Amino acid sequence: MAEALLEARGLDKTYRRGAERVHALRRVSLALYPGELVALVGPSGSGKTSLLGVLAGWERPDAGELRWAFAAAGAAVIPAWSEVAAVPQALGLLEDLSVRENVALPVRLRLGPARATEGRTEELLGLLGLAELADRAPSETSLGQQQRAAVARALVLGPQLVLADEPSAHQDAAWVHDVFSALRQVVHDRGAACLVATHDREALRFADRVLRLVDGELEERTA
Amino acid sequence: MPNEALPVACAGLAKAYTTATGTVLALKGVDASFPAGHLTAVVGPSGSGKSSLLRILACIDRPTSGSVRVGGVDVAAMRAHRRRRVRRRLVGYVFQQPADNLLPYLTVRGHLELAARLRGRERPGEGDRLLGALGLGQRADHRPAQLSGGEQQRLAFAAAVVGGPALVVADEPTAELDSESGERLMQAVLALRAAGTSLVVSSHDPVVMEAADALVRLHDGEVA
Repeated sequence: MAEALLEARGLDKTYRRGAERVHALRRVSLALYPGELVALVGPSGSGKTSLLGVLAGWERPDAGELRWAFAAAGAAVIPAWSEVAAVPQALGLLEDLSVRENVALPVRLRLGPARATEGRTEELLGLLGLAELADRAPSETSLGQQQRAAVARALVLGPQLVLADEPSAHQDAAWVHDVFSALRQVVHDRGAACLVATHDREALRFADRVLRLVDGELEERTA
Repeated sequence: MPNEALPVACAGLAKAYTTATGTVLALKGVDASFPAGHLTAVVGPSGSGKSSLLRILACIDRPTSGSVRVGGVDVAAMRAHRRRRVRRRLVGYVFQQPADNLLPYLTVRGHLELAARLRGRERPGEGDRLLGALGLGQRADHRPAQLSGGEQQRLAFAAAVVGGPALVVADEPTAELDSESGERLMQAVLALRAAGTSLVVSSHDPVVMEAADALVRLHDGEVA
């Protein structure tokens, strides 16, 4: 079997909510391999967003180990965009930039402004139905279009690992298909691994396997 | 220091939104001026049109009709990409929900570096000075998910003002802050005013209203 791109063992994460202590993750272990799309399901509040945040290196677990194939052991900061890319639930599009500039932002940040036209910006804008409105500000587009722009931004540099938090939450059926096709394409063409938190039953058709989180505990299901 | 003093004025400003149940008139012919180097507070009950007015003054939205002159230039008549360029260079906008303009990928320091770069005004040490003044000096290497709501709000403010935009527009910037954090943010606001920045701030906070040079009161989309 190929080496895992990401391996997590015994992750624990708690939050303080007022006086209450919330256990978001309980001894979560998982591995993600090149060339697979894994769906992460579970009820709201089960810890899906927390798990994605920890796996992306944005949040520190209270306990447990994380190993990324593309980062030194014990690294605190994981190179964003070309190694790990994410579609966060709060989409994080910058209002100062057009949709096109938002999608191309990783290229600009990683390669510099002079090379901002490189990467797959135009291809992804077309693939995700954004070409006609690429010069608009994010607020001048619908929530579904903004979400597809966040998907395009995550994929623009062909990352090795994609972590997507409900990337089809604001899409109708046709766009669900196109969003997941774009994710599958990076899995197929780049040998990337993709972990997608989703409530969308239609999306499960695209998954190689399904993980389920309940009350912070992970179990594997067959896809 | 900002580049230039930037007065803002609007005349006959109207904004209509289409909703599932019909058209809502958020602004109904607003005339107001916001002098250069002044702190102007926009006040009024929820739903009175404050956010709609601020988004237009900050060149984010276009009015349905009327004019908005920023530094003497009518930005309402501009095409979207030109208006965006004006905004990027001259205007800092603090969103009501700070997460709206924060990137989970970037550290606190990374947000300030990006904002300064987009504004074309990278000044050594400015970001760290701002973070220190806003009580975020120890959080420079953290990401938004590791910050409290109040810290995110202060980061959004720092990102909006880094690089010295001549006009800062802030939508309820102290709403999620405790009194100590709110005081730090107000000190930063007053320091900007002392440096000649024009500030337009919507708020229910009596501290903001007291510090303001002028108030614009909105009620049901009109100046009261």
